[in-house]
Parts: sequence; structure tokens; C-alpha cells
Amino acid sequence: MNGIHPKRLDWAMLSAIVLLISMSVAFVFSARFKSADLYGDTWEKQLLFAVLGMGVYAAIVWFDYKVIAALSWWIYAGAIVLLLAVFLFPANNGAQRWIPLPGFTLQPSELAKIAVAIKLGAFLSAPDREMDEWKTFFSCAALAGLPFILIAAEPDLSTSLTLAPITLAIMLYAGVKRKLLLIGLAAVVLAGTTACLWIKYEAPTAEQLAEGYVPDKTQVLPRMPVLHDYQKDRIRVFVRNDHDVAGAGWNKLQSQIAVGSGGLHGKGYLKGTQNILGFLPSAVAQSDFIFCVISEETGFMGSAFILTLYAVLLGRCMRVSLRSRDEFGRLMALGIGVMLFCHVFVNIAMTIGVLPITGLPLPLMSYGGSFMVSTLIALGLVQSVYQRRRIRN
Amino acid sequence: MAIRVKQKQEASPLVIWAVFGIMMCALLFLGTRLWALQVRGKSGFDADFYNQSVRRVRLPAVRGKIYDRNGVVLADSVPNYSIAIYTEEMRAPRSPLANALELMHRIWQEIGVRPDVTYRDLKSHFLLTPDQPITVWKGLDDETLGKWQNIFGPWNDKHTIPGLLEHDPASTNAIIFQTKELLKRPTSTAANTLELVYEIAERTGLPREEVRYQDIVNHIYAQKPLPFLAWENIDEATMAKWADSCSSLPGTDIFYQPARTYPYGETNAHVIGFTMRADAIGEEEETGEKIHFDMRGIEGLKGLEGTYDELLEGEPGYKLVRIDASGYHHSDLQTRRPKPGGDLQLTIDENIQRFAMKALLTRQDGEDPNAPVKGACVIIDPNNGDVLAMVSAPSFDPNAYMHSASYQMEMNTDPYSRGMHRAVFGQYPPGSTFKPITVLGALRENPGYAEVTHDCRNPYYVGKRRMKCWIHSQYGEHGEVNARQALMVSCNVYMFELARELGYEPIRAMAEEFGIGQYAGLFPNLNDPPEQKNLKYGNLPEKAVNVVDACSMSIGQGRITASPLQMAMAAATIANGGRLYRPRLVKKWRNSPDAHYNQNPTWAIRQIDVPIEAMEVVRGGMFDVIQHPDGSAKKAAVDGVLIAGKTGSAQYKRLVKRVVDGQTTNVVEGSVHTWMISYAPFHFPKYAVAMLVEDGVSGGRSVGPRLHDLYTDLFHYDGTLREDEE
Repeated sequence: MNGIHPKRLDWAMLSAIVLLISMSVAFVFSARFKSADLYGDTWEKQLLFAVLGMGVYAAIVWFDYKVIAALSWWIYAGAIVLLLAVFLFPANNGAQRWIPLPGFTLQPSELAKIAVAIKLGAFLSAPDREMDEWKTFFSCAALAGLPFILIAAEPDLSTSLTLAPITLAIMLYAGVKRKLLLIGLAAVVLAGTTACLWIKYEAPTAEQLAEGYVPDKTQVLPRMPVLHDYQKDRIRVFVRNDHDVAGAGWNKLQSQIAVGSGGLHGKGYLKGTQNILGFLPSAVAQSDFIFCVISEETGFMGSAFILTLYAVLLGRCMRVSLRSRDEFGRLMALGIGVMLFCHVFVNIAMTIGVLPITGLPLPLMSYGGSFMVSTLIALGLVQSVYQRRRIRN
Repeated sequence: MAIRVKQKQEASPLVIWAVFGIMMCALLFLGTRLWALQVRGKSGFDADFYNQSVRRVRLPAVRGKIYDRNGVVLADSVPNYSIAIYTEEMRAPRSPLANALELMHRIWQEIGVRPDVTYRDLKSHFLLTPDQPITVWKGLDDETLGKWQNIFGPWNDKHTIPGLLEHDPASTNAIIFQTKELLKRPTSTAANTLELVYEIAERTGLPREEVRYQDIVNHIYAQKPLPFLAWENIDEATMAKWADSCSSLPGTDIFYQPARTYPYGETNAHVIGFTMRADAIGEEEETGEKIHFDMRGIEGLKGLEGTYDELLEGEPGYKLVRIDASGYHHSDLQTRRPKPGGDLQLTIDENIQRFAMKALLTRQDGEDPNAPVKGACVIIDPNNGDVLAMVSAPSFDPNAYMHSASYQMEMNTDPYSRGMHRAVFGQYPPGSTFKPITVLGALRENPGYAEVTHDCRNPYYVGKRRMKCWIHSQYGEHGEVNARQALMVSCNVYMFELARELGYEPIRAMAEEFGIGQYAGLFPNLNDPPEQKNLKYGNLPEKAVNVVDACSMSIGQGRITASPLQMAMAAATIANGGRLYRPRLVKKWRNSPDAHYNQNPTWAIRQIDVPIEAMEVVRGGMFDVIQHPDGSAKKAAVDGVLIAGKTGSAQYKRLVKRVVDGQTTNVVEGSVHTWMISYAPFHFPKYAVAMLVEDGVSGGRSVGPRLHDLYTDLFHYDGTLREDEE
């Protein structure tokens, strides 16, 4: 049944969303007001997309999500077409991730993640699905694998990797080969740890040596295959504390300094000197590094407040998942919750040096029109599920 | 089917709870990390942040002034105005003209040939025909073309430089810019700065050549947060022009640094000394804090500027400057203002100083008209040791020395060593001016010696060696003279006889009490500046080698040397009856312009133990030298004032370059240092003077008339003589 019932809305989640978006507009302004001449007034655009996104949000809440389950194949196919369309446009910084549209650029991978959550939910919630069959397992793998490959080919490995936890969570919940998945998960964690340690103690290449790189005594292992050098560099920055501070390690160091020098109370709104003086990379300060700007200017109090808001948002997503009236809503809400969590965790963790630097933006905070709208679409779906929840008696 | 679904639903909430649990744990983990970073680790990151974004700039203080005894400023601090360009404002892209200028200068630097287009040509070219190439060099010779080929490779292969038209240099002998390409390129900060330099030069008429492109590049490389000083030392007219035509240009301003000026230039050059740009320092001395940039101040190098540098220079200030990620100035954080330096007030009287200089420089008969007058004059107040004047000639202009490198070169290679402070550091045989000390030494040993007479006869032998009185070379003799007469006529034979009878020791003892061969103590008791140990202060031998040696030392020749300052002290001591004062040059001093002055005390070194009768004999002899009709320095006399004095002429051998038959050879030539010591008025002495002229004729003829001029000026100045009395 379409329609919005205010009494059935999750107001706590909605308040968290509105608060996060307002802070986003304020801090995108703060991140850019010094370099507005160079980039234009981005905060106005952010405000515009926030308003637009809230409109889309309302529309999706109004829709009964059952329609979406019915349309899941179309949505999935549309996402795949958009992911393929990316390759028609010229590369930007060596990557083909965007579709330029009048007024904004669309990043289809963001929509694709939602589409995967929808499609997997719809697929697994079908009443005749046999969970223990290998066929189901491989179908799920294929549904997630196709966009994964397409996104990884853009190349945008970090975004494609977020598909993995989404798929994993949904399949675990649905009970598709649970043991196998858990074993697989353990294997991946083990492999990841091994890779990190390998890269940490890997011997430098001849090129690096020629550039005057002085290796540690511990760097003796042979070269690791599979990963590219630029990908290894990010991990190396993360595992070796003082690695290449002037080059690859610069952003990590500067974002840590920005967050760290914020202190308990912060330096004050519009007074984030790391940002103003350009130590935070000015091209991405308002997108990937928006959390730095916030925690530098508002200190631990502000960043803890943001974390709390995200905790509320994610907790509410899980609550929606538990309360959903049907399997599809449950799976979709879970998938979306996990997706948001991945973004939040990876983004914040990278700014404080816990994870390597990646290009994952912070949901609802980072500057970016299509990401703002797609996040609100996802949250609209969750709210839509909640509105039509099972009423406990 | 439905049952299976239900079964799954039973199991499923666990997964959701697990996911929820993982999420909350992860967020909690982030929270604790944030706490660790922001609250516990704050100071570390604050320090990191400070280190990378804050720079300390040392600011020099305004240097203290030096006054004469009447408050006339002898060394003054004035602002040195410069046209500064703030490079942080030069980062925004400007017109492509900047690209053309930058390319032109880079090529210019390499080939060293002036381009054939002017700034105006380039400007109008970009305005009128921006799509046409422009020929910047034409008619280049083969050598330049070769250089050009060597540096940049052949024209038409891949070594092309952006903005340069590809063409064959050999056929056109020209370097041509591709304007279209220059239009497209973004301009660099250095290029923008260069364009502004050209623009300012064009508008104010300042010479563009004074600002080198490499200086701009170096500045941006090493001193980004500081303003780039394009033209230093600009005058007021230029400043007015700048204010008229350039003050609206963004990124340029007038900047000033403290500088030094000496209003009386040459007169005081040796006493006051001069200053130079100080070396940059990288660390604060007391705290060891790093100084990233040093707006270099000035540092005293010679004379009082050097000796009292610490007092005069004040305490530097510091400015904390915030820089942005690319290293340019962002904002000033805080400034600790420099504390201005302290002042000195000297005992020198600028008027007397000028009289002394004028008198010294007045050339007398028989002096080489082609060489500058070389000499020194010291005037001391015999009642307290105040140095009223102290000049050396030839002198130099400290203002020119500070600002002109060619003047410095010229001075360093000057054959007359004009930089030498002859009055203090010159060491000359005192000649006959030493005779009063010889006589005093004899009279202390044997008070009855005043009436002993000796016969000045020609020839006179000491052992087998013939020694001369000066009158012998004029075929005369002094005959029988006593001590007073011997002083009056400056008889050498009397001194020889005296030395032979009494020995060298009484003379040496007396000379030592007069301070010959010792540090004169010109800078006592004022923050204790160290004595300049590597310099000698005259020479007084311990023992005479033989009788001949003793004889020649008794007339101030041989190994005895003294500076004009020491001889002035001796004159002052005779004038005041035997009290040797430390010469006082600094009368008062204060540590800052708003502090009270501290008096530098008058200080007598010793009372010379000599009977008053002996002193009277010597004073009478010196009186006769000028006032007696037979005196050796009658020319020094001034009507209306009684003056005492003693002449001296010390012969020495010198190497002279002579041009003989077109060839330069070194010839040994005899020459004379001519001296006089003197004091006046005779009964109540106010001035004790020592004057030395190198390569003069004789004390009486070279220095006597100069003393006459000096005393005339002095006594008119202090009111002893009036104009109408002459």
C-alpha cells in the first residue's frame, strides 16, 4: 500500500539523517570557503542535492517496497547497463567511474550496490528458493560477482570490495551454505592478514632503490604477486608507520594531524587550520576527508557526536531488519545497513590511520550529489520497510 | 516449503544481532581511537601541526645612536625603504606575458645576450597580435648560437621548449617565441613576480636590471614566507612615484629595514666605525629555538660600532608566521617586538673633531702634493682624560663603504691604508717627542741633573760610531745646553750624554709609567669589551742592547714605538703635573632609549712619582719650544694664548715604487714621521694634543703650522679668543 503514515515512521532515524545532512552542508562550506574561488560554491550544490535527495527519500517512503521486489530484475539490469555505460566516457585520472550528466556526474557503482542488495533480497526471499543448494549459492555469487567485476574494472577496487560484506551478510542471514561462508570468511581474513604482513616485509623493487628508497633490515621477502604497486603502496603506508611521508604517506599523516590537533573541543567552526592552509588535500577535503574537517573544527566532542548519529542510524537499520514484515524487507534493510556501515567505518578508519587510504566517501556527509541521493534512496527503502512493518501485539 | 521458511526465520535474528554487534563494536573502536588521537595524543599532533605550519622569523632591532658630548648625532638609524613583492599573492594565474618574460629570462641567463625586444614590445605584441610568433633575439653570432645549441639541443628535434617556435636557427640567426603556445600555459609564481617587476620598473623608472630572475627563483625556493625585496635603498622621489603609480597593483608594498647613516662621514669614520649586513643565524642563542628565517639586521664591524655592538644592536624580536601547505605566508600569528638598542654618548666634540681634521688635512710646504695627507691627531682634556677629538687621515666615507661594493674593493686595496685607525693602532717611533720623558726619567734619578750641561759638538762619537744631532746636518752646533735648553732646541747630544751617564733604565721606568708600550685603556669599564689582544700597543724594550741602542732610544728612535693616542696621554700627563688618566671615549651609555644614562667614570691610572721641580723643568722646556724665539716650533704659537709643546721627527726607511725608464722598481728612501705633542693654555691646560704627520718635513715645519690652525680654531670655539682680538 502506498502512502506515508507519520505515526509509523522511524523518527529517530529520520532525525539522525536530517542532522547529518545539515552538518554536511555546514562543513562542506567550511572545507571549501577558503578555496571557493578555485572550485566555486560547493556547499550550495550540496544543499541542493540534499533537498533533492530528501524529495526522493519521501517518494520512496511513499512507495510500497513490494513494487521494488517485483521490479528487482529491471533495477538490477539498469544498474548493470549504467556500469557498462561508464566505459563509453573518457577516463578521468586514469579511471572510468563516472557518467557526466548536465549539472552533475553520476557514479553508477553507488546505485549498483543498492541494486545488488535489492536483487539479492528479492532472489533469496522468493518462497521456492532452496537455500542449501549449490545452485542458489552460485546464483548469489553471480549476482554479486558481475557488478563486482565491472566496478573493479573501472578500476575502483575499494567500492567493489564493499559488495562483499553486503552479499556475505545477506547470504549468511538467508542461510545459503552458512558453514562454507564462515570458513570462506575466515580464509579471507587470514589471506588479508598474510598479504598485509607480506607487503610489510616485502623487499623493495629495483626502481624504488634507484629512487633512493632506503629499505629497512626487515624488508627481505620476495615480491608479492596479484596486487599493483599503487595498491601495495596504500597498504604499505598503513602497515609501515613512517612510509614515504612526503608522497604516499602524506595524506595519512595530514589527516591524522588534522584529527589529532582538534583536541577535545576542536579549533572552532571555519577555523580548521589544517584545511585552510591546504595540508589536507584541498581537492578532496570536502568529500573523502570531510570527517577530518569536522573533527579538526569540533574536536572529540563533534566526532563522537557524528559517531553516535551513525550508531543510531545503523542500529535503526538493524531494528528495521528485525521488524520487517517479510523476508525481502529484512534482507534489503540488512544489506543497506551493512553497506552504510562499510562506508562509515572505512572512511573514518582511514582518516585516523587505522585503515589504508581509500576513496570511500562518508554517507550523508561527504560532498557529492549522486552519492547523497543514492544514500537517501537506500535509507528511503529502509524507512519504507519500517513503515510497513509487522505490528507487535 | 512454508515450514522451511519459518525455520529459517527462527534462526535468522541471530545473524542480524551479530551484524549489529559487530557494527557497534566497530564504532566503539573508532570512538576509542578518536579519543586516543584527539584527547590523549593531542599534544603530539599539535607539535606536528606547529612544526609544519609555523615559522619563526627574526626581526632586527633598531640600532642605538651614538652622540657626541653636546648631543650631536654621529651615528643614526634610519629606515631603508625597499619595494617589496609579496610572492604569496603572485600565485594566481596572470597574463601570458609572464610566460614570455620568464622564457626570455631563462634563455637570456643561458646565452648571456640581451634580447632585442623590450617589455613594451612584448606587451603590445600580446595586446595586438597574440596569434603571431615574435622574434625575441635576432642576428645572433655563431658563438651564441653554438652555446644555444649545446644547452637546448638541436632546434628541430624532440628537445623543444614549450613556447619556442621550431625553426632552424642557422638560417635566421634568431630565437622566436610561439606566442599561441605561451597563451595556453599557466603562469608560474616566479613568472608572475617577474612580470610585476617589469610593470613596476616601467611605471616608476627604476632600473629593471637590478632585479635578477634568478633572485626571484631563489627567493621562492628558500624564503617563501618573506616578502621579496625587489629594490632596496630607494629614495623619497622614487617612493612618491611608486605611491602614485604602483600602490594599486596587488602584491607590492613598501617595506623598510633599519639602516645606518653617519652624518659626519669621514671625520669620525675611524672612531665610530661602520656596520654591515649581519650574517643570518639559524638558532636563538639562549633558548636554542630554531629560527627559520632571519630578516638580517646590521652588525657593527669596526670602531665603536664593533666594540659596543652588543649594546647598540638591542634585542631582536621574533614573528611567528603561519604558512600554508605550499610554504607561502598565510598569516602572522604573533610578534615579539624587538627592543631597540642602547645609545652611547661620547666625550668627542664634533666641532673639535672637525677642527682637528681640517688642521691635519691642511698641506704644508714641502709635502708630497700627489699623496693624501697621512697622519693622526688626538686631543685629550688633561684634567680628566676625556678624548675630545681623535682623527686619522686619510679617512673614508662609511656611508659609501656600507652601500658600494666597488668602494669596499677600492678601500681594501688602497696603498695609503685609509681604513687604518692611525691614532690608536698606528705605531710610530715617537722621535724627539719622547725627550721630555727621557729628561723626566733623568731628573727623578738625579734631581740635580737639571743644571748639568753638555756640549753639543760636531762630530760626536759614541764609541766608534758617529751619531748626529739634527743641527749637525745644517752644519751647526748647539754648544753647551742644560736640560731645559736641550728640550727647547731638541738637542740630541744632550740626551746621548744623559743616557750614557745614567743608563737606559731610568728612561724605561719613566716611559713605562707614562704608559708607553701598554694598552691605553680606551674602552674601560663598559660591559667590559675584551681588549684586542692580537694588536700591539707600541713597544718599550726591557733593556738596551748596548750604548748606541740606549742613545738612540733616548731620543725616541730605535725600537721604541708609540701611538698618537699614547703620546697625547703623555702630553696630558705633563700638562696636569703627572697624573696619567685613562683616556675616556664613552662619556655615558644607556641600555635602551628610555633608560637613564650611566656615567662612565673618569679614571686615573696612576700619579707619576716625579718631583715638581723636575716637572717644571720639562714644562719650561716645552714652553720654550713654542714661545721662545729660538724654539723649534715657533710656527705653532697663537697670539693671546701661551702654548707648550715638543716637536719630533723620526726618520725611517720606506719602500717606494718609482717609475724609472718606464719600469717600476722599488726604491728604499728615507722619510720622516713628523710629530708634535702639545698642551695649552700653559698655566691652566685645557687641551693636550698629539699630532702626527707621516712623511712630513720636520716637526716644526710640518706639524707646527697645523697646530697653530688647530689652536686658533679651538680658542675661538671655546671663547678664549675673540674674533676682534686678531
